[in-house]
Amino acid sequence: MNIPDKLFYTKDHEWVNIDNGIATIGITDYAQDELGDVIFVEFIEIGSICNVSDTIGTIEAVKTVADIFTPLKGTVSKINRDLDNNPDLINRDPYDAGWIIKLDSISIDKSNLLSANDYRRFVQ
Amino acid sequence: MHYIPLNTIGEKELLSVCEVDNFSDLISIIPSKFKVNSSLGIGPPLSEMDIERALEALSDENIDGSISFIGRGIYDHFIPKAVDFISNRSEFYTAYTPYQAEVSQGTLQYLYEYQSMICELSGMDIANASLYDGASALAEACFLALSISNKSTILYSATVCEHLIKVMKTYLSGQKVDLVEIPEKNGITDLSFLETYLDDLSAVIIQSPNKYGLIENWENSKNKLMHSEALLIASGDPLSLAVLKSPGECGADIYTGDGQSLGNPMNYGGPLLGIMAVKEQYKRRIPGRLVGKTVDCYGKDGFVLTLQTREQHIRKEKATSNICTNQSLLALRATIYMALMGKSGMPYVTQLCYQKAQYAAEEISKLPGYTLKHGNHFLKEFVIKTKYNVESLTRYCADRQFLVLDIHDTISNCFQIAVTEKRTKEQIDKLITCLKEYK
Repeated sequence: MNIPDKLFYTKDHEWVNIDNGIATIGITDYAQDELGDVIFVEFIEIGSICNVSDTIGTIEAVKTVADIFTPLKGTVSKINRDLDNNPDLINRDPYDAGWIIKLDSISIDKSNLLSANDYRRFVQ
Repeated sequence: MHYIPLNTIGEKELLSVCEVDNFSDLISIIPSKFKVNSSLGIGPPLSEMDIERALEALSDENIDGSISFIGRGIYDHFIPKAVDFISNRSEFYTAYTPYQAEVSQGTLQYLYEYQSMICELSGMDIANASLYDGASALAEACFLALSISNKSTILYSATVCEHLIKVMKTYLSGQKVDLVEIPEKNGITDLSFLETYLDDLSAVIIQSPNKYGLIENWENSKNKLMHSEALLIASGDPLSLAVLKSPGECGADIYTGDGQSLGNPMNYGGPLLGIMAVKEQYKRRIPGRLVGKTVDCYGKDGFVLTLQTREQHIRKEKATSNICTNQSLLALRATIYMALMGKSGMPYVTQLCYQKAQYAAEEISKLPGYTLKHGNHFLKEFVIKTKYNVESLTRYCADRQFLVLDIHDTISNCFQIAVTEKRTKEQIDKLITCLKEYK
């Protein structure tokens, strides 16, 4: 299972990459494997302000639906429109091309975040 | 499943397990204001023979052999015998809902064909496998509109049938929504009313043919909504779509209707068949079951329930609707009816209705004391205004076995007549004579 060291993780199986005040959020390799083939992703609107644990989108797999939660406070600045036509990017490349949403104006509270090592232990 | 009747010994045993002496102790926790204190008023038990006699006496009170000129949503259309014959096959008639859906390929195939035919008829992209009836379908359309927009006003035309509005209001009673009626002008929706509400508008409901039988203009309604995000919900009798410009062509976002007119008996008012079809972009919001066609691992055609992630067993409280059933048997009958009548038969039926209704309206309005209330832009139903007392007039007609609809409580001095292809010229002429002879 792929769990890159440079990212933060949540117990809901999202990953977060914080770079220059922008947080990029996606779901982990473990999560995509559990969900199975992703067929649709629904996002909240650009410009929405979200608090910790708010739903920022929904992932539909063939037989299930999962909400995506944000582990930090911020404003939605970008959504990954490539997923509209290729939702399976989440399965094929969860940490890169399969990113889901970007937040700016973030305030980081690391108490909600796990390191790669902690997450590895969490899913084992 | 076995039917296990309750006897005194069994009841005692059950009560002792619950540690109470009698049944009323068991339900003592329910506040008395919610309980029926006296008996249900259905009398003492009867023997099988007595029950049969009592029910026969009740059924003898039905007006038998009457000729129905009543419409407003339920119509006395002709049903080819083949519809009964095929739908009564035990594979269809006795089958319960297929929980393991993909094992029941036959059921899925006819539902897929039903959906495809409804799409073709309505000009919409996606139809579900049906809902309870036209009224609940309309209510579901409102839920859909509200789930898409964050606006809270739904406008409905005063010319939408009352029974649809009543059910819709019941369904929406727990929702944050303002339901506002659009007034009518000479029997037709006054579209100029829309402009004042455009800002907070989630959807507009227009029925065509409307409750008076008049043809409304869905296309103009949609044009009025051009600069708003509001959806147009087009409601109407599916059989009329065989000749009218379809909701899809008119730009409607959602079509709902009642499929009773497609090969289903009047059933004393129900069960009916709820039809719902939407534009492709709403496919993840449409309630109910959707059947899709695919290929199996050998490349053979197969049918599946699809997009189930919309439904409540997966999406839980976030589902648009908690509907997960459909009117399968009635949808099957509609499918057989549409397949039998085909692309030439359905317009022909509607043309016959139109010609006969126009003939009836023309002849009745020639009679002294009777006029056509609205114009002649109707398909198979129209309103007549009379100088006579409508209540006693309709009673007089019923006594002579002609049923017409008394609507004087909503429009004074008026009654309504629907003419289907089943009505012969002789029957229509007799009704005219009956109206003529009434004094």
